[in-house]
Amino acid sequence: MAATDQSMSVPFNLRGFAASGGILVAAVLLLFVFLAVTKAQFSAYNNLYSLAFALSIDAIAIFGFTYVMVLGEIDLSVGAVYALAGTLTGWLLKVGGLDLYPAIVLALCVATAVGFANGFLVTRFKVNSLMLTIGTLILVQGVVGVLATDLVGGVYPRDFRLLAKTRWFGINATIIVAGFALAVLVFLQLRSSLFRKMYLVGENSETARIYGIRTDAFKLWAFVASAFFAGVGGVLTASRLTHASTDMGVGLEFTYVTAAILGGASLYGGRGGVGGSVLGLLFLALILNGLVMYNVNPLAQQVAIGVLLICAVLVDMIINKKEGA
Amino acid sequence: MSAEAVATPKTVPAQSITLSRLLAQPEVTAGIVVAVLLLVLVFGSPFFLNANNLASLQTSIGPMVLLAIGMTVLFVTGTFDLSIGATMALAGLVATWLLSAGLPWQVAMIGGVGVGAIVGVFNGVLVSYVGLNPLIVTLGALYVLRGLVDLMIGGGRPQPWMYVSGPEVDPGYYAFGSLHIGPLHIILLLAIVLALGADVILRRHPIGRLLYLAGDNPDAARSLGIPVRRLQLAGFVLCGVLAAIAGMFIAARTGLASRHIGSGVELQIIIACLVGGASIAGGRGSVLGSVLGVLFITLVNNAFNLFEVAAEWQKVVVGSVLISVVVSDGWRSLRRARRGK
Amino acid sequence: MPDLVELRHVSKSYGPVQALKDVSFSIRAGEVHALLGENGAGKSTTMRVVRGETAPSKGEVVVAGQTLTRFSPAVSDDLGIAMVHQELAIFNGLTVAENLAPDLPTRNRAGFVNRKALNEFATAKLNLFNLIIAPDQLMSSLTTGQKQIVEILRTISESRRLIILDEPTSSLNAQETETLLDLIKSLRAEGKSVLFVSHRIPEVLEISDRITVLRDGEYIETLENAGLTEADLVQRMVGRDMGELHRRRASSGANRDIVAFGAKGVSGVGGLNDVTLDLYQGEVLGVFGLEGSGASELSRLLFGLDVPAAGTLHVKENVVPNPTPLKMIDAGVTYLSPDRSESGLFKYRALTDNITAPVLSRLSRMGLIRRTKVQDTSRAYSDRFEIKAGGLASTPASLSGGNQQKVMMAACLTPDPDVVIVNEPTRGVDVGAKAEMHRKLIELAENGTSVMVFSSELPELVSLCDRVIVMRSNRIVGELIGDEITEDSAMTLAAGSAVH
Repeated sequence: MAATDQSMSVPFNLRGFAASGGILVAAVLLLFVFLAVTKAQFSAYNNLYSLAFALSIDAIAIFGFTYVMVLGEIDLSVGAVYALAGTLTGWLLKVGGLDLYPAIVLALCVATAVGFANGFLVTRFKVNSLMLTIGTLILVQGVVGVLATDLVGGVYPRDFRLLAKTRWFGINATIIVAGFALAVLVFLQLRSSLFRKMYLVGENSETARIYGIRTDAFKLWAFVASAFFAGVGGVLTASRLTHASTDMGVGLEFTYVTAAILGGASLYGGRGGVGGSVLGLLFLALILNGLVMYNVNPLAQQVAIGVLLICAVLVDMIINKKEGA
Repeated sequence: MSAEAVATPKTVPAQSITLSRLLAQPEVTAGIVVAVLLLVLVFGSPFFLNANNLASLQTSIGPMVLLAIGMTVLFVTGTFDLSIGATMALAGLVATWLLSAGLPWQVAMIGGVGVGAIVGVFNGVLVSYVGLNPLIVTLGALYVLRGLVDLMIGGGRPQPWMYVSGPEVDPGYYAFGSLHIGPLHIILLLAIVLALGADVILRRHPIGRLLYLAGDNPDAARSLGIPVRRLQLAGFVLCGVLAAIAGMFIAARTGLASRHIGSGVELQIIIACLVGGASIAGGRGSVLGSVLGVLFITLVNNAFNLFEVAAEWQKVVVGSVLISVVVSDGWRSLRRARRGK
Repeated sequence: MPDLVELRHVSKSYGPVQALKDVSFSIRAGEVHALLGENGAGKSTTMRVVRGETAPSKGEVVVAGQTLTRFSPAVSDDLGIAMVHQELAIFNGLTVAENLAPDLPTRNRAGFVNRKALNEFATAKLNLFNLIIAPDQLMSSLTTGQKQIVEILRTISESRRLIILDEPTSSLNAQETETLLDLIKSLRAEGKSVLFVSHRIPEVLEISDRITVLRDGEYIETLENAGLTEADLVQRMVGRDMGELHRRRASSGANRDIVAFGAKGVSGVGGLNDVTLDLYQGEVLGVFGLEGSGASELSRLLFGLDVPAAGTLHVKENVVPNPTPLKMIDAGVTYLSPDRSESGLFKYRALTDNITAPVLSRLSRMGLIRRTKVQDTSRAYSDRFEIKAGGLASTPASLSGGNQQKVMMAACLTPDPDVVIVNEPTRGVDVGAKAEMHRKLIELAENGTSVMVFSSELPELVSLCDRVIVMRSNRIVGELIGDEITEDSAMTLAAGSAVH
């Protein structure tokens, strides 16, 4: 037993977190410096600012999703729920005639309900979350399509369009909110007993059960959170896009899985965190930005993400696969 | 226990055919559902029996059956493949590109089939030999392949070389897309022949038996000397090749190797197979059941068209069906596991 | 009768653990040879060596006069040696006939399977052994016992000379057991040999020609089955002479007026039947049962890990309805898991996380973990159990087996429970750590905590317990109190036919 390589096991303290996240941080920094030095347009304020803006919205959306992965499950319906919340808000505003905030609240409730359904089916019927959330994905995409058709050609009402662009003290509100929420969540990950229990469930759910931790409840709430935060991201993105789009959220789940795994999460559960996921998102954003700067065919982006995903999963398996998993 | 207790051996007859046993077979329930759908369509819409409608049904069922055969084999061995739609598009594109370069249609088709085989090997090695999760691998493959398709097209509008019906193109390929024997399209005939063959092999041939053994209990199968990984790899290659053929067919028939070929088809095929009795857990399913599942899906889509239901509602229905099929499959697996203990 | 298989001075080590020490015995052709011994005696390892699944570290295996040079299942297959493991290697989704003949001997000329012939082949085989199972039935619809029989039938064929059966009757009911024993007798009548590993002395006495007893990895004796009694076998299995009593602890401090924990009429889905027991305050109550006795199922049911089919649990006088682990912990009961490699530890998380897992909420204020309290608590328990680790931030993965057990024990005690249900507390632990663990358990009882010990190690139970309940075939068959607790008496109840 002493012979097993312990350098990969992560005791949950600050030093360990830095050790496992350190590679990603270094990669991000290197990438950043490389782009800044070689491409003048990269360091332009506009470019960096728009990167930060887009990142802030994705960061919010990935919060709940990360915790589903920490618990050892996966939610592939995030992209569809994201699109649903955004499109539904627009629909409620234009077709339903609701005011801005009631529309947003209602849309988020619907999104959360989808998350609840996912969580319920996974915990109650022990269904494979991978397959189930793909089903949810299709169903919700269908609903989004119906809503989008109703909204064809129209631009959203002004107050909705301005929502994402709200600025506080000169900076986009989303950046402030995302940063703040990120800080709070990272703090909670380290210090909250509830979050600690969640990691324990992900690490070994049977052991967690023996110590009185309610495994099913954690999973259910994680799916709810995943849908909720995806919904928030969707509402903000719809506001940014200013009109309904059937492409919204398509393929988002892959970006998020890749970002989460780059950030330390594992398909086997028990690891990862929002800090890592956001760093992963930043890494992907920089790569894509770099590809644009270097005039690489934009269609290569898809290939790039696909390859990155497979590599990340491969590495995850090598490091984290438990015996008999 | 005395030896005399062993009196005349009793022959136990094969179990009698009762209604409940019959209904327990997924193929039977699928068949019933399809029959009901057919009745609804025949009596519900005047256009169902229209020659055009039936012709277009043939050309959707044909390729779907090919895909379902491959997917069934994979389900039986305990895995699955989500990249089939993307493989279809890429194979169609590659074949068309070869044609536009002036090569004869046989070369073009071999090229397309080659694409399918390569994708199959890629998926098979990563899933069966390296041990990665099939969902992630084949979805990653889907992403990569779709990206390659877009790269080949170069973005924007379809290029002239992607059109299959121009005069410089070898008419042999075009014929593949439109040949009829009597009222039946060649693709449907091909599909029927392959499906029959595959069903018989799975049910009655030792190799089919090995596939079920490998999927039902891989550890026990391995201890019997069955090469589980090799069988799965073969399944992936078969799936890729069939997908390539389906993709090339669609490109030939529509006259355009579009980037949209096969979009979303993987999930429809999975639903078809699950409805037909396959299970994510492996070791179950049949080609007959999957073909019935394909009929189910195609008829549902046709119903949507004839009754003019929007594409989005189709997705809603398809998604709901997938969820219910997955949940009931999971529930059944759970009960089987509990009973087996 | 000539020797079919002979083991000569076979030893086998797995790393530092020596499973077999200089074992020599032989199996004759056409005999039913039983291998008897308690858990950890070396029976599984012996079977694996004979089957070729593993090579001996020292010594030779001779089959039909030829010394084996290569050890693999394929080689053993060629030599006509087959084995049926305890975990069934069957195919649930296929029919009985397909399970009986996975290699499909009934092909027609085109290479296709002739289903009718397959079913006839299966029926013939089933009839040969007088079994009433339809060949085209799905495997999943059979009982566990029937599945076991089908799997055994699968291994029987012309070319087989020796069939090894690992605990074949552990999941069978009385009738199925009879069928199986008849089957074995038929095999013998055909000149085949059977190596039959079992705990159940009555069965062993019924059908074996000769019996080999192992103990602690060593060969004890091979006896001819002529005029043997249960006691003869038990004495050799357990082996410590009547005079050599393990040191029992001083008089028990148990308070028989107070029932700390009780179960009434508990039955389980896995077959456990109507178990009623009481645990008195300050008592150490042992539960002993061999494989298939229902003891492990009982332990899970008592803690709410599995849902009982019937019965109630109560802590002091309060009934705990719909028991779950959380409710049990709140009621003051904790549970030590039997298999630390599967559950009971968070292998890659710090010791602090492991030790404080059940009490995180109590050590938190307003939802935030109070780190100093966590550290203090962890340190306190770590010291109390003398856990040797490189600091509290190290992970169980880096500790020895004994220390891992201590970590689990510490976690069990942080909620300050009144009752502790302990499973295999010293499994895979060296002698020194065993003694320490036993000391701690006794201390617990002396301080008023009630302890239930589920263990398969008789010496442990003898030295620790005030009372021992013995289980067999999913029910309680006896209770031993005080000086009645000896390895002999416990084993007699567990493996024999008596009821006490």
